[in-house]
Amino acid sequence: MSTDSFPAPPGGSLADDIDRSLDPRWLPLARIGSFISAGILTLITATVVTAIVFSKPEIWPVVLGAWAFLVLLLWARAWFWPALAYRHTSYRLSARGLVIRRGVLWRSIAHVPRSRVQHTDVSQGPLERYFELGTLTVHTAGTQFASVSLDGLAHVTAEQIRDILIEAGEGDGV
Amino acid sequence: MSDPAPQEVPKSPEPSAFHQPSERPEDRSEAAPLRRLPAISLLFLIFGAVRSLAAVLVFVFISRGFDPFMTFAIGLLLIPSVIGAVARYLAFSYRLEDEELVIRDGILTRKVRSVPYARIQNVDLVQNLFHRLLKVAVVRLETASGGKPEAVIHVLTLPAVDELRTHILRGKPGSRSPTVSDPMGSAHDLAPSFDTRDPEGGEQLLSIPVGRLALLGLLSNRGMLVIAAVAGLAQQAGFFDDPTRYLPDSAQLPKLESTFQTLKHVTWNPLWIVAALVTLAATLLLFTRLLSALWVTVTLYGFKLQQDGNDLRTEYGLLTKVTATVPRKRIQLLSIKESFLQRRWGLASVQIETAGGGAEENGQGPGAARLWLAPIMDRPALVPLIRRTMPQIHLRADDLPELDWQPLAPRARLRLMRRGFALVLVLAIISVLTLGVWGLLSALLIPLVAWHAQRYIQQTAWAVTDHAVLFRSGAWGLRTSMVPFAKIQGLRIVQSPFDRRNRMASVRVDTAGANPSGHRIDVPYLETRTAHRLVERLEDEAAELHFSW
Repeated sequence: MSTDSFPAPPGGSLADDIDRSLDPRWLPLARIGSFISAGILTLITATVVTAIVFSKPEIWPVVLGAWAFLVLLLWARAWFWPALAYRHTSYRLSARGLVIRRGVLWRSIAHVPRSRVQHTDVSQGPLERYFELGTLTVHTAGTQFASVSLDGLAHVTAEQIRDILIEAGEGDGV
Repeated sequence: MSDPAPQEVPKSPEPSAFHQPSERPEDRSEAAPLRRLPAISLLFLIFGAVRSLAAVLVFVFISRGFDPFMTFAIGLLLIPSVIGAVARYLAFSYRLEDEELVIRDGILTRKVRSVPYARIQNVDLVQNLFHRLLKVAVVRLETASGGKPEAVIHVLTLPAVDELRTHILRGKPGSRSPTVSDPMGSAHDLAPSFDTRDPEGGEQLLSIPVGRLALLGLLSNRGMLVIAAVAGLAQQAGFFDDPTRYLPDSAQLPKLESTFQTLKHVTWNPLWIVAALVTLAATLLLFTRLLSALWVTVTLYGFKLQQDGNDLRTEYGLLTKVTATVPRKRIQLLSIKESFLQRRWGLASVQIETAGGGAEENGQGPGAARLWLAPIMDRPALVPLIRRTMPQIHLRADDLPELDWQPLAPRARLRLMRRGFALVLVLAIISVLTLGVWGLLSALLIPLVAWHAQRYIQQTAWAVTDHAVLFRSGAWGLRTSMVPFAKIQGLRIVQSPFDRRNRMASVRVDTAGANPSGHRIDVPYLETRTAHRLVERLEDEAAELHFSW
């Protein structure tokens, strides 16, 4: 899989059938997200562990040891997983449509033919705004994959892709 | 509206005898007259409001016995709901414009909805016994938005339904059929036939005699559904609330004890026990199958499939009569089911999905994502029926097995068997631990697992024709689904860790209005290369064809 993190050449179109990886700024953003969820999980398990230790003080070394091990795993995952996910996520835009590849263990490649794009959203949360990133959501009339979303694009790129998809979808009334 | 000349107020060619155009001052500028629901509709609205309270009343009555105070309180509750029903009746009105249906609705929040005729996917009618006695029907209009029907009209008289249908069909470009432009001569004489539009207008593609329906019921397992429904009702009515009341009271206990004592002295021949269990199972099976036959016969009674120009129309039902109209072009997926037993009789059943499909409250009737094209039919008639209903597929083969079916990956059989054996192993360990030596009997499952895998791999295959993609699968029975290229919405290659180890992947094809539980194009155990080639091919085909609902 040849991924190419470079933006489109000046003057050229993004729709050149080349695999592109996400914007590198996605990595810190994703780590912030996974750290927050790891922190919440740590707090929740900490209360449970405290309760257990207080009710059965005789087994505290086992409980604390197991907990420390799990928490270590949790934070290691929070650090390394986004990097893995980054490596396994890419998108490709061509005259035929948009292809999104993602998933570390369970992998999927979603193909959205251009002529089936109903509408496209570009959204930006507060953190995404800080990193100048955006999320592209492509809606089709389908059912199982009625909307395909791709986060971790530079906001500008997301808007470019949206414009390209809208251009192609013109005149495709319901 | 370009020029709403006041002289042109009766826009519809057929003056409706049932709906006096009651014009309000503010509507005078509009071209089409305002229409209200017939007075009978009020009856059904009130009945609906009362019915929900009646359930409460019955519940109270069963659990607490007759309680005058509660009855009175519930009676008081009835007043606002009846007032609400009347208000809803008064608030509802609709107007048949040139190109759209405008519905005004809502008591506190007034809602004006306009549904362009061209966007209406299906026009479905539902009539229960009372509707049929009073010659009215519930009308559901579905658009492609999915989910709930765009508009549900409770209830319209049959001539008003005709008028609505005429407008919808005329408003749709390309589906103008001769029967529609013909001013309905026979429509208003309240013929016993439910299809008031023109009974001879459509060409009948299929009609199923009662015997066939009973056979379908016997071959399928809908009896358990009936039992579950009855059990559910019984539970709601509180029959299971106090199980102890079904136990014998203490006065009878000594008698019972003596029975047990005599039973103890009987020497239990294991053969007898087996015989008794087999008889019990057979009786239960026979009973559920008979129930199933009855159920299918009643719900699908008089099933007819007609083609009228570009529209397909089905109607069925003994007590609740259902009529569904589906434009041929809007079929997204066609699915054929041949169960193990059906295949022995050379039978098949066919369902279609339309884009307007959505969640259905009670699981039957139109609006369900899947519609019957043929609940039961002879296998040889399958291809002609598909040609008639989905001409866009251009099915050339004379029989489905003659298509160019492509098998799954060669190692798929091994994978399936390994998975099956692993399951048997787990089962064996558990049963040996709990039952002892007898648990080893679970090894008997091994040949079954092997046969199942072999059979599944033999039958499961995919095919791509010039205009459609097909997928068939199954070990005992066989299900075949087909989607024209123009209806493909999205494609996906999915690869689990196990797939990756075997260099395999599965391909999924998404369509509009898909029923998540139904059989669809979801091809497992493909070589990764094959999966990529298939998806690229389908993507090319889909990208070339513009999707039109």
